[in-house]
Amino acid sequence: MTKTNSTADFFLKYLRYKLGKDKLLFFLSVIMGLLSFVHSAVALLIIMADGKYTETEYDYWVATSGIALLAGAVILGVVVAAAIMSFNFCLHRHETDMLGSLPVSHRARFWGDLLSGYVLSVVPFSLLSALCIPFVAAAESHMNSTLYTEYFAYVVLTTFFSLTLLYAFAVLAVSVCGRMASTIACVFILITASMNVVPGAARFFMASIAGMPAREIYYRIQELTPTLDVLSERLLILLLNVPLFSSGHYPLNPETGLMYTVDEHLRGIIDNTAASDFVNIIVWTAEIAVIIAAAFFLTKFRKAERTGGAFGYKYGYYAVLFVTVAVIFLFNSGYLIESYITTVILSGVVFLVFEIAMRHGWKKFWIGAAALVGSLALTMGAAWIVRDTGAFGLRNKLPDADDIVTAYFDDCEFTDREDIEQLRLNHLKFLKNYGNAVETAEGYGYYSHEIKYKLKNGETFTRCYEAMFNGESITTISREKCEEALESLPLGLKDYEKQLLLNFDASKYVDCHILLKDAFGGVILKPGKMREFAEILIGEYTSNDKKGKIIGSVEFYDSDDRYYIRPLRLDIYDSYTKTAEFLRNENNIIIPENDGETLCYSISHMFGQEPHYELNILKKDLENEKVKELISLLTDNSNILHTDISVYSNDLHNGLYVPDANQTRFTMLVFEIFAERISDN
Amino acid sequence: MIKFENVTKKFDGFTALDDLTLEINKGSAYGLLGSNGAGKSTMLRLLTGVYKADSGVVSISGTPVYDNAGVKQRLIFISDETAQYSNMTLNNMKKFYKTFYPNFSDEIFTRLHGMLNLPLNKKTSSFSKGMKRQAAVICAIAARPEYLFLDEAFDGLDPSMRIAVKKMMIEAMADNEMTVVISSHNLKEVEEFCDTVGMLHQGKIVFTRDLSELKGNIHKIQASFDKELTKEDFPELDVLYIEYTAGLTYIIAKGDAEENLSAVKAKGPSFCDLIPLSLEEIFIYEMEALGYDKNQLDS
Repeated sequence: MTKTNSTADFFLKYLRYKLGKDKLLFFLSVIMGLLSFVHSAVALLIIMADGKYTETEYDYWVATSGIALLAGAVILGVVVAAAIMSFNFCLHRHETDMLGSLPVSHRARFWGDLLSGYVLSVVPFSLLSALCIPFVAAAESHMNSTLYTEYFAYVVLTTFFSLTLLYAFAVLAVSVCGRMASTIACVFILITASMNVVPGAARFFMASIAGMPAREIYYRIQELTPTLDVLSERLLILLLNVPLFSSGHYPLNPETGLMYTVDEHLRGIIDNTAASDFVNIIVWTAEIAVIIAAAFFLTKFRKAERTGGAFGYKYGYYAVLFVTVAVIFLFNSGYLIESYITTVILSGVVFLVFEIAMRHGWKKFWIGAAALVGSLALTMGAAWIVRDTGAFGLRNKLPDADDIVTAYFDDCEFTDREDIEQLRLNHLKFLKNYGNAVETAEGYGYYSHEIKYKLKNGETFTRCYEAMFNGESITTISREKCEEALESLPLGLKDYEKQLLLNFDASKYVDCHILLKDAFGGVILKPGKMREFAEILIGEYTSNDKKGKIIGSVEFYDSDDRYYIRPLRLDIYDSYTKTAEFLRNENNIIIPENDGETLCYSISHMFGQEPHYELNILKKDLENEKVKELISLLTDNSNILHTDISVYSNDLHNGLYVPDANQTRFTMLVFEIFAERISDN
Repeated sequence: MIKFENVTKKFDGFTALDDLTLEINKGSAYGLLGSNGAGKSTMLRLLTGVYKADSGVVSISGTPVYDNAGVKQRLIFISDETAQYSNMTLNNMKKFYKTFYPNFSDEIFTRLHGMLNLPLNKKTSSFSKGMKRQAAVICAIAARPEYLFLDEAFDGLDPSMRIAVKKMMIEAMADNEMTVVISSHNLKEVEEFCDTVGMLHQGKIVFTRDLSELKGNIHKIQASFDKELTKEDFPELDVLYIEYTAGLTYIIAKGDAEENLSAVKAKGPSFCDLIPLSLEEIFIYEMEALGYDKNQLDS
């Protein structure tokens, strides 16, 4: 009697066959899992439990970090190979003949192929990673952390989803391409596209709205737009944090762990990335489902005679070309003119590769070339229009004043109607004058300001603006103009200054620079005196309603290594007697009684971030020939950056600069003047 | 019964099978003949559900084959390539067929393997082409399918192995009522093994006939005349080919043997005889009648 199989039998038999056939992948996946997570987690436990960390161990961990990194990269190759091997009937006719004639339906065969590759590559690596969590938790009990296990679990989870998404991409690629080389190229294109299309387009659009594409906007968009990115941040987390504890400078090192706590480091990662990744996981799941469905239908409708060749590509060629051009453009940022040129060159290269791979022939080559030009024109034209129109006017659109419940300028909150309306008016004025002009490239900005409106409907309207360094900007206005424009945003807000002071935390600031008008010029406080000075100044600021005449100003710098952050700037009034007294007493500088003694220039030669010396020049000194020459070397050209010499004149707001060519002579003169004064005394 | 009903299959504008209609009886050994590109392999791939027909239906026992696991369980296809088995040992192949074909017989496998004595645990990548084909055939026969389809069945087999493989298949046909469809360029093998043959030309079936009937319907007559005669001299015969060489005239004609012989004798030859035709000769003359150059086919 003839035996028969049920549908489920067909599937299970096929799956079993496939799992047995490609078991090499399984071993590779296990080995990579052992070399990366398992190896690192067990070692972490041993070292933390031991509590010792010698130089030999350090060297060992540096070496093994490389192995872990390599294993993390190899698993990506294993996952792509698994997809190709599982669906190799798309590549080889003999496989098509064998598998196509087997008593297995297309559906059973597809799921068998899909699951076998997945189970052999992604699952072992992910399971091994998950098995490490107890080891990490045990190690954490010896560490100064309560977050490391949570962080590690997050890494494991995102790694799992990233690898699954990569596997889905590879399945889709092999279903479409039917050739090994083009499949691998397609995986790269899909990854690049997913990395850039959605977040890139969103970034471009939102940056066009916001006027200035600030880093803050960049990060915010990354948080807001679910990225389909497999390889960048999540992979970096996988690759760079597996050997996290290996570095002598990292907090997991028991001996150097006192530098800062583990939690402080991890909190940042979890807060900044994990939350958005959980949104991403939902998007990834949906994306994986769509990709798998597409692959299912591609393999279903891919005729066996198309084995070894592309399927669906012929018709989608021009669409693929257009998307590729758009990806290249977005990848190149799309703000700088250079990005347009780079896009044209890269698109041309990619097009030639496509044409060589397709072997289209000359006639279609020219049609393709025309399509390339059209794609470039369309992409860049669309980008130009979006940028030039400020995203069709959205850039300059602000909520109605009546709809705003609360407004924020940086950390200051405004609920007073007058303040809200004033801020909105300032904001509109700013957009009108600078909205288009200050469109800039990505880069390190000088400092930024954020304006936020909480609306009656519960939504929050946020804009962040950043002044850029001139050298990295295509704007026609200078950084100073940008700063000036940004500083105009809170003008006229009656609560602003008060709130600034209420929020003032002297412990956050590490340095300050004081300038006094018509008095004794630049003042450098003695070490440890800044906080006391700040308290006296703030005390007078908050208690004096009638402020009087401005006699000087002070700038507080919040970190010595973040020089690009805008300092807090406060004016000093003649009614601030305690402040003036403090400055007199602490600096041994006597406020001159007559104009003949009035200081003209204060020169600080900076060495690193600390003042190296300070030379004050009084009016009476102007007769000195060396002083005359010294002053002749100065310029008021504000475009000179990074000078180590700061010169302030009596006019508080005008800094003077020493051009590069003059700096050596200038320094020599300063020393000569010093020498003269010492000999005079 | 295997049935092709108005089946058309095209590849990028090239029509491989053109409105083909054909029936193959159960239990027969059917030989597919045809020149390169005639559509033989395409037919086999349609029969085994590898290809899907652009139009028409390919069915076995009244059930369409494509994407039908139930029907496919009753058939096995051995294609002209054997690279798919390269990473398997014979034992792996046995396991593979056993997995998908529940009627697989270990006993038959052991018996057939005993006849050929192939290494069981050596990867077939180290096998010769003929050994790979033997391995595939013994696994296929041991799986006891109702239908066995072989593309270039005897390709790469040496004469003794050809005999052994044919013997195996004939036994299997007798035991299981297995239907075998083979395509081959080796017409001698087809002639020895098949009971029915079909000839494909440009995607159409030229004829499909019982081999003995086919051979009984086409004849070669050798005669000696005092002058060279042409086709037109025998209007009463369905002459496929006529050739005058060294004083002898060779006439290939369709129809009843005795009637054809009488018609030739009526022209008064000094010598006249009926010579049996091989399938190869039938194939060549049929192809020539379809416009192929005989000399090219001979070579």
